[in-house]
Parts: sequence; C-alpha cells; structure tokens
Amino acid sequence: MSWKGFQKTVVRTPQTVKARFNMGEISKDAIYIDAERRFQELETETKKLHDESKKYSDSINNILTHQIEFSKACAEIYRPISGRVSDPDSFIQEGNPEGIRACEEYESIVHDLQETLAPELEMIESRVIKPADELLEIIKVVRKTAQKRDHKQLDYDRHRLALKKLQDKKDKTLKDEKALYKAENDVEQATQDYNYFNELLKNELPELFRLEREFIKPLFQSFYYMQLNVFYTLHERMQNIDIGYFDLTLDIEDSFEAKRGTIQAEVEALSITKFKTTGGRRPGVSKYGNKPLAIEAGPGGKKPLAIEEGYKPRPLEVDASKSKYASGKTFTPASEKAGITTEAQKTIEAPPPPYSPASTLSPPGSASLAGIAKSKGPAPPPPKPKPARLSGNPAVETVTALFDYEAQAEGDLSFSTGEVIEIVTRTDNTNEWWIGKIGTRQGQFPGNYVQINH
Amino acid sequence: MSWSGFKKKVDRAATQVMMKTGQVEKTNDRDFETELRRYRTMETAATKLQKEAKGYLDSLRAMTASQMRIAETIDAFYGDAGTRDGVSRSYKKAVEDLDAETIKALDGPYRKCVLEPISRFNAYLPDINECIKKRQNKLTDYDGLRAKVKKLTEKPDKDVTKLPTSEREAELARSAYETLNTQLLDEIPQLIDLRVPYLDPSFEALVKIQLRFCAEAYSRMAQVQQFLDADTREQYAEGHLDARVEEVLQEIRGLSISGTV
Repeated sequence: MSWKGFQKTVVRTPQTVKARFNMGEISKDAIYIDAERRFQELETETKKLHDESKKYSDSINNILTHQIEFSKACAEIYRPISGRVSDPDSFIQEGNPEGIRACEEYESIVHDLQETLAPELEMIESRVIKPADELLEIIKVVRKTAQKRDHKQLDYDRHRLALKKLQDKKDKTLKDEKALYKAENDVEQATQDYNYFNELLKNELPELFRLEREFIKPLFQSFYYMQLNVFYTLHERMQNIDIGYFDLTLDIEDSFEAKRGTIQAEVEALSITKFKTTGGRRPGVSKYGNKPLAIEAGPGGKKPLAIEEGYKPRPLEVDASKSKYASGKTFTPASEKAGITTEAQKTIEAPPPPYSPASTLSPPGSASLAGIAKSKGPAPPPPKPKPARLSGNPAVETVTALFDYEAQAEGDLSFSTGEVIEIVTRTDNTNEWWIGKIGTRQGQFPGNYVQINH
Repeated sequence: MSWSGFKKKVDRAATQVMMKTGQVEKTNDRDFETELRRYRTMETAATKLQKEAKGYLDSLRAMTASQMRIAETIDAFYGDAGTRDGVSRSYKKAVEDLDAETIKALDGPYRKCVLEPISRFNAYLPDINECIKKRQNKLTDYDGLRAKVKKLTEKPDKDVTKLPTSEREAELARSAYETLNTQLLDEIPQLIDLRVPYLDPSFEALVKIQLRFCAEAYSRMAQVQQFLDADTREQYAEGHLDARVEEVLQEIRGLSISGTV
C-alpha cells in the first residue's frame, strides 16, 4: 500500500469503526445496495462458471484415461503369468489371449476417442474458460471501483459529521470558524466524489448485468454444442464398438452373473483367501484329491448322491470353468457345449455355458445398443448357496419360474414367470442347467431362474 | 505384542543373523519362489485394476457434478430472462436427470459388477500375504532348529536328552512349515488360474456401462436442442457465437466502471 493510501486508511478508521457498529449517521442508498448485492452474485457465479467448466473438461479426460488404464490393467491380468520372466519357455498358455486382444482393441478405441476429443476439449478451454476468465478479470476491476465508492462514502459521512459537529457548537472561536470553513469545503468535495462514484455504479451496474446476460447466452450455447459434440462423439464411437469378445446384447448384470457363474465361491473355497479369519486352518476337508466347491459342500459332505453329482476332482473343475469361460466368445456354441460335456463329466449335469449361444451372432451396433437399453426386466438373483438336500431327489419335484426365460439354443425350455415346471433332473447347484418339463415340452433351463416348491 | 510373540521374533532375528553369517543353512524352495513371483505379478495388476475402477467412477461423478453446477450457474445468470426461452431450464433438467437417473441407475450395476468383485478379489490378497509371511516365519524356525540339531549331532552335549528334544522340535517346526508351504503351493496356482474368469466379467460390464452412459448422455443432451433456435447450430458452427462473446466482452470492457475510470 502506498503511503498516501495508508494515510487515507488511518484517517478513515474511526468512521469505518462507526459504520461497522452502525453508529452515527450513515448514508444508505437502497438502489445501490441492491445493485451491489446483484453484483456480488454475479461475481460468485462467474467464478463458479470458470472453475466448473475447467473441472468438467478435466473429468471428461479423466474418464477416458481411467478406462484406458483399466483396460491396461485387465490386459495385465489376462497375460500369462510366469515366475521366471526371463525364460520364455516358462510361459504356459494359461492366460486369456482373446481377452488381451479385446483389451487392446478397447484401449485403442478409447485412445482414439481421447485424441478425437482433444480438440473439442481444447475448444471448451479456449472458448468457454478463457472468456469466463476475462470476465473475471473485468469483474475484479469493477469490484475495485465499488470499493472506491465505499471509501468515498466513508469520507462523505465523516466530513458531514465533522461539519455538523462544528455547526452545532454554541460559541465558535476564530479557530472553529476556520475549521468550519474547511469542513464545508471538505463536505463539498466529498459529496462530489461520492455522488460521482455512486451514480456511476448505479448507472453502469445494471448495464453490466444486461451485458452479462448477453455474454452468457452465446457462451452457454457454444458450451452446450461443445458438450453435445463431446457426447455425440463418445456415443458414436462407443456404439460402433465391434469387439467380438464382448456380448453387447445382454443386460449388464445378467451377463455379468452368467459369465461369472460360481467363480467367487470357487475362489473363496481356497483357504488362503481367508487365512486371517480362519487362522490358516483348513475347513474339515482333505486338501488333496477331490476338493468340493464351497457351494456344493453340504454339512455332511458324505452323501453318495452328492459325490456322484456335485463333487468333481478339483483340476477338472478348473478346466470346466476355463472352458466355460472360453466358450463365452466362441461362434460354435453347440460343439463347444458338447465338448464340455464330454470333457468335464460324462453326466448331463455339466454346466453348459449359460447364454452364450446365438447372442454373439447378432450384429453389434445399434441393434445391440437397443438391446442393452431395453432389457430392464428384473435381473436374476445372485447365486445363493443352497443347503444340500439331505435325501436324494424326491419322486416328483416341481419348481416355479421366477423370471421369463426364452430358449437360447435348441433343447432349451422356454417358460414365463409363474409357470410350474416338473423337474426331470437337477443338481443342488442353482447355477447349473437343469432339465425339466412343462406338459410335453422338455428341455434345459438355468436353475437360478426358478424357485423350488417344497 | 504378546510375550511369546516377542520371543519368537527375537529367535527368528537371531536365526536370520546366523543365516547371513553362514552359520545356519537356508532352505531354498525354488518352486515356491516361482509361485511367489507369479503371485506378486498378479497382485500388482489386481491392485492397479482396483485403483482404476474407482477412478473411473469418481471422474464420472465429478463430470456430472460439475455439469450440474454449470447448469445452476447458467440458470442463475439467465435470471428471469431464462424462464422465457426455457433453454437454461431444460438444460438444467437434462443434466439433473443425467445425474439423478442415469448415474444412479448405472451406479448399482457398476458397483455390483465392477467395483465390488474387484475389491473382493483384492481383499483376498492381505490374507494371502499374511499366509506367506507366516510360512516364511515357520521356515526360519525350522532352519534354526535344524541347525541346532546338526550342531548337537556333530558335538554331542553332556545332556543326552537335548538331542532328542531338539529333533522333536525340529520335526514339529518342519511339519508346521510344510503344511503352510503345501497349502500355498497348492492354492496360489489355483488362484492365479482363477483370476481371469474371476475378473474378466467385470471388464465386459465396464464396457457396457460406459456404452450405456454415452448413449443416455447423448440422448438427454440432444433433447435440449429443441429449445434452441434453429439457426443457433449454424451460428455455432460458423463461429458467430464466439464472435458475439468477444463483442460483448469488449462492450463490458468499455464500461467506465471496468477500468476506464
């Protein structure tokens, strides 16, 4: 602060204090006060606009970056993991090459998208953020002017007060007369200054508000179109996504459940995954040989039927889940299905890949997108571990459909919600495919679409 | 830490020092080391996956949040004038819907299909690390006791009961170590094998969620267009809007309150 400025501040202090505590006579201009209030609003709003539009373009960029990174991390997961990286022979083909390819494809799409959007976001920067920035600068200047007016008002009040005091004095000395004269002059000067700034602001602030509205309209319109463009580009690019690896026709949660199957239970059956809670003690199962799925491990674990149907040798189970997984993107579902059956188990209980057939054959694109959007029906419940039944299958068992099911492949049984299905064969695992019949129709259906009638 | 825990720690530290100086032979289990390296690779990848999954959701939220605030600001700017043409209102409504419906609707599936499975998978890792640490401790115990037995065999002590006692202790330590070791050797590869089927569905879910978000965001945004004049699009494309912004800015600068005083 300059010396002059400092001096002024000191002289004004008593009046500032008085004004703060609302003492004495303070001039108030209702019109100005209102204008000032609006100006304050404008100030905060402009600041907000500036900050938020910046944040906005940043977060769009972030969304894309995170997707790229996510897909990179996925590729890392899919890559075969070797304990001896320097030895190429140690890489067993246990990873997920199709997955890696899908990751790379997706990554390149998103990367491309990010590059396409870069000029668009750049435009937000240069055409929205920058003007807002400039406006902010102007507003700062205006704020200064308003401050000046406040100071002038203080001076005006101060001088007026001084003059009044002198005038009220009963018997004036020569010195007082002199002071009176000076005070009159001061008041004159201060009034002029104050009026000038007060009028200026009163006249021009509304003008500023008007211009501000003028300003915001085209700004908003451009911002809107930029935004629309960004979303359009995103939408279009994403819609044309054509990675055979993904089945885009199904509902998010449905296909997630279907693809996932019992994998969580399988992993959680590994005792190291809950080492802390169990203190490393194995659940009362032998660690070699046949390792039951947690889901199927009944409390007794000794029923002959369960062993026959549900218990599988551990390595085979891993195999089955892998091939189930692999068949998710194959184009020859029928043969794959058969392959699993022979490979995993000779019995019919082998889980065929749920939902995989047919869907990948439909052309991706707008149709598939519509499919995603429209499938809003109730999602099947998450797989719940069913308590193993203590007796064998009862004579005739029926189940009630919880959801509509439409045949996905030949040999499937279609039904609608509420229909009662007679069980032909079923397992204790609701995530497998059961066989049942309605009237004369017989076929397979997913066990988690129905509820068992007791 | 308990007293016995502390004692174990001191014993192990001593054994480790002796290993360094070569007095105690260190067991090298190459198979385990290999598996451990594989596990570490997977751990890194899984951790990164979790971080990115969270980051995606956060930035999606950040975007809609700032969109909403921008809409509010613009609505405030327009003031009463805005209600006349309804643009700012409909814009505000569009972004609010986007936030309230689209994001909320996608939030559930995202959590269920992406965030939670990945977090759950990551939650296994500390337990496994604990197990690995414990195996290492047991191995150190065993190495230490084995060295003791060896020393007693080479230089028999006056107390004849000492050797059998140590032998028994070493045997106990060996079985403790081997239980953990086989458990880890058995299960880590299984976990590594299961990682792809476990985490793969989430990737597809993420792609679909992104797809759906884009589709909905666009369709909601596009609705606002009907409230704008037909030629606004042209004006935007030809840069008239920017020129107008610049023009008004110039006008504002021309006001005497903004610096010409």
